[in-house]
Amino acid sequence: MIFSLGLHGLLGVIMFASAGFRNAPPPTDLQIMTLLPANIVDRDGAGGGTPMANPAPLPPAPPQAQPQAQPPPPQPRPQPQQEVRIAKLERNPTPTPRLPKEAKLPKPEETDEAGLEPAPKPARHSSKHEIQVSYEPANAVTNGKKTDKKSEPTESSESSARSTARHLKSIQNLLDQLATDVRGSGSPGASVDVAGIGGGEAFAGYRDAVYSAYYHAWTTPDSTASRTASADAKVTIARNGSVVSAELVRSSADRALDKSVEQALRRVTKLPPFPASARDTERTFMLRFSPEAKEMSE
Amino acid sequence: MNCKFKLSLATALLGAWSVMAAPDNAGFINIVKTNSYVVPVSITGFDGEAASVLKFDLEVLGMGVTSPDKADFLVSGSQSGQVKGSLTPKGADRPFWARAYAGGSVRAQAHAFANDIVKEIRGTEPIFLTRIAFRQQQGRSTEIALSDFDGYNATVLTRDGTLVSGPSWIPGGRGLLYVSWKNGGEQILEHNLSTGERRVFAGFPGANLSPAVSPDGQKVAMILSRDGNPNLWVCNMDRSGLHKLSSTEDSGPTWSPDSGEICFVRRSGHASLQKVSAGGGAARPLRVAGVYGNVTSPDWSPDGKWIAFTSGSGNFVIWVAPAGGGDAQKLVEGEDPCWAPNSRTLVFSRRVSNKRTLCLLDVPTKRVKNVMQLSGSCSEPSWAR
Repeated sequence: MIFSLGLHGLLGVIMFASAGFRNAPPPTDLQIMTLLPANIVDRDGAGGGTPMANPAPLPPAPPQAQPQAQPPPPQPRPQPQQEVRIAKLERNPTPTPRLPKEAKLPKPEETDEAGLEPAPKPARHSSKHEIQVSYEPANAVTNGKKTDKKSEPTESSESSARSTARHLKSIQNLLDQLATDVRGSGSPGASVDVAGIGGGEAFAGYRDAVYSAYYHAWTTPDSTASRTASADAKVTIARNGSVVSAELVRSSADRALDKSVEQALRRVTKLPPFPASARDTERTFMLRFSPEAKEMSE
Repeated sequence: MNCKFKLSLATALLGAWSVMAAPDNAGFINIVKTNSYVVPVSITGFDGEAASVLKFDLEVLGMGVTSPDKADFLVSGSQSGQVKGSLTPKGADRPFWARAYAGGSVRAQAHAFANDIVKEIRGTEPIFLTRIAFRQQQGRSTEIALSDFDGYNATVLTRDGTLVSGPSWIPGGRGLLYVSWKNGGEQILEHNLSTGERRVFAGFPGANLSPAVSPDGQKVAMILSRDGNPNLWVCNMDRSGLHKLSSTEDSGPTWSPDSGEICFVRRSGHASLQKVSAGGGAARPLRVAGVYGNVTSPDWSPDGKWIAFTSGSGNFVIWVAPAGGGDAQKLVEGEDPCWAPNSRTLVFSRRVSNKRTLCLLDVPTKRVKNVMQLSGSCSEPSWAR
């Protein structure tokens, strides 16, 4: 009996101890997937309440507090690269070997990868191989709306002062509303239906939407000079989701990386609009772009 | 009154805090991404040859073709008469650019469009209108053949009915050097592609092997056994100034992009990669860690950062290592790697059931695409750059 207990105890110890000697599983190459639900809210964890309850109508805002009445200033984005590069066809000088008689290759066999098209005739190289690229605007494929060019000169100091004022106002509003709500719900026996976000539809923070947009827009350089290189950018987004400004604010000292970040900043022009409950007219985010030096990087 | 004062104080404090916190909005959004990320791209509006060319080209550069809702970049357009296309990043509300391509074949137009797409997404040198040279089996002999980078538009350059090997482009694509047994022994021939003329570049007693023209087009490195052992030699393009750089048993020279250095294999003892100045001096070993088997056929990337090479015996493996030495990365099974002008893509040969075929490798994502299959074994590719 004692022997059996001892043996089982020993086995138990071995089981526990052996786990520590096991090799760690090889790191797998995970693809990051971002799932964004249809409705984006501001805060996660702000759930609870009755999801289907009708939200209480907002109390009329004091006349002086009208921060949200300001339409977001539509900042004209840089036009989609009107200047175009001449795509020159750098074909090698036409090989016209004379000494050995030029011979065509036997018909290429079709493969599953390239076999969609009929076997091409090994075309003799004529000298007319240049391709002219006409850079007509090709309106047929332009489906974007033209944005009005109501450009207003925005000085940074002015706008920051404005946003400060807006912040103060919105906080005032919030507090006012809170006070009203508490006062109103005080009667005995009243059923309190708080419009909640939890329990019902999925939510995601607006930051996730920003992350997702820039993650997908960014193509990392083939190789980076340092494993710890990163670059920082600042983006400001208007309430309707259009990008007001996006700039590199800290260089990585690696030209290829900086260029790739600037490209990503240029590529994103439109994000989802702010959640319906949002009161601010624009938001500023700091982004840090770090290439994971893994494959071809030193 | 007192209460109101407290409230306004709280408001002021909160306001001050929120103003301070506003610029970074609760810290950085960290975006971390590896360069092995396969970029999802959708292609709409094309069919037939244009569609398959676009798909092939984008896949060669480490992109995956998917549906528009899953794509990071939307490629759309049409091919009625000419290829027209636009590129829209997912986060953009309108196309980045839209272009129309005229002249040449539909195939060439689609390649030109793919070049523009890759230049925007990857920021690398376009390669889809470049050419490769390689050795092709023709019955019992081997010949030098040329084709587009994807194996299309192939022509056989030589018809000597003998053996050839090691084609090497003269920069700018105006000609090739290769080894031929046409005149009995192994000689290096220079082949002018515009006139079709050939001349013997090196026909010394013994073996004349592995020609490599420097990127500036001024010099040629090669292996000559005129002194007994196969040694590394260098001369000018006009064949003047011939001198020996190494007295060991050597093979496979390749040039640094500035034409100042040569990397080669020292075969005496355990084969090792060596570097030597093109002007002369002692060779220094290039230390690469993690490689097993005998190293052969190094190729220096045009951006100067990497050296790709083969190792093994029987089962050959392709590796890439930093040009200054360091950890080597195992890529795929295959041999004879040669860099494309973009320093990202490799063309190499692979044995598939007793036949050798050419393949393209996207190094960061390690994705392999077969080039158009041709009859006969194809090997020893050289990318025009």
